Amino acid sequence: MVTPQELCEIEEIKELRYLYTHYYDGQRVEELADLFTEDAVCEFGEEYGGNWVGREQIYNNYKNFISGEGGDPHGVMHAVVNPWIRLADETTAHGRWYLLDLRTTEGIENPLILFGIYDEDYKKTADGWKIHRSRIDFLWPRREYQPSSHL
Amino acid sequence: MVTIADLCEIEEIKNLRSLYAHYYDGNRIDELVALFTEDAVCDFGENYGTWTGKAEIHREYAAAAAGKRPDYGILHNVTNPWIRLVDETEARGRWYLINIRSTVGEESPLMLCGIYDEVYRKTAEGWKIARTRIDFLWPRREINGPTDL
Repeated sequence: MVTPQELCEIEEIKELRYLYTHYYDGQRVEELADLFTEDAVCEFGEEYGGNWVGREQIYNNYKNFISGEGGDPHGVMHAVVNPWIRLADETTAHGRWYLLDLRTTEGIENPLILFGIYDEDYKKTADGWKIHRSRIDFLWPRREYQPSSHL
Repeated sequence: MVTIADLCEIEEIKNLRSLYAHYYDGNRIDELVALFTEDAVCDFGENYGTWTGKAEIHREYAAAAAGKRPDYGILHNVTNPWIRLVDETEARGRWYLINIRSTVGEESPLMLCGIYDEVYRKTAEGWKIARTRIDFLWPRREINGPTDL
């Protein structure tokens, strides 16, 4: 059974994930990088340059990725749904989210970029819940799938 | 930190946003308009204009409903809620919107993508929408950016 206190923790984790999308899509890179722990890892596969380790590299890679893509803020929409959050203990949690990635640039004929699943670890720090590890199970159009980590 | 009291307020605001979608898409205009404050403003940009006050909001939504469409012929899918409680009676929110035309025979259902940018106010009848605006992203772009978030 979910207790009221657990519900508050889960809400903070959901908020963290939603903030990730608003900051990323809005090209607010400093606020985006601040959502990660100091020693976080982003495992987005070889296509994105292998693992990004630590907040500094995560900041730099998101910044480069966004400037490489060009365009205005909100040219991409990371819609996340179906949150599956599990609190492992008082400072650790795991989550899986369905991702619908849309290219929301004026004039694009087919906005669907990819479907995938975020598979993540969260850690509770003195500054609240942060993303400690993020990985994507890529489903479509390219498939690069690993079974879920802790769920 | 989110407290249990905050969580209850946030849940009511999320519910308000979901009800908007169900009432609008279900052509239940009276119930839809009851979700707004008396002095609410709908700011829907160049194509749809700005509607001020409940009477005008009712007229505009009723006109939109009358001109068209079967119940749930359009789906306003809202996701990625970013809700911030400002004080006991005011809150802000941004939501991703994926609009789908769910009419039989429709070959290309994806209608538009945007972001709702809203102000909510707590009244004697609970949380209401005091201002709603859309950052239109696709297929046509008209963006103002976040309001105080």
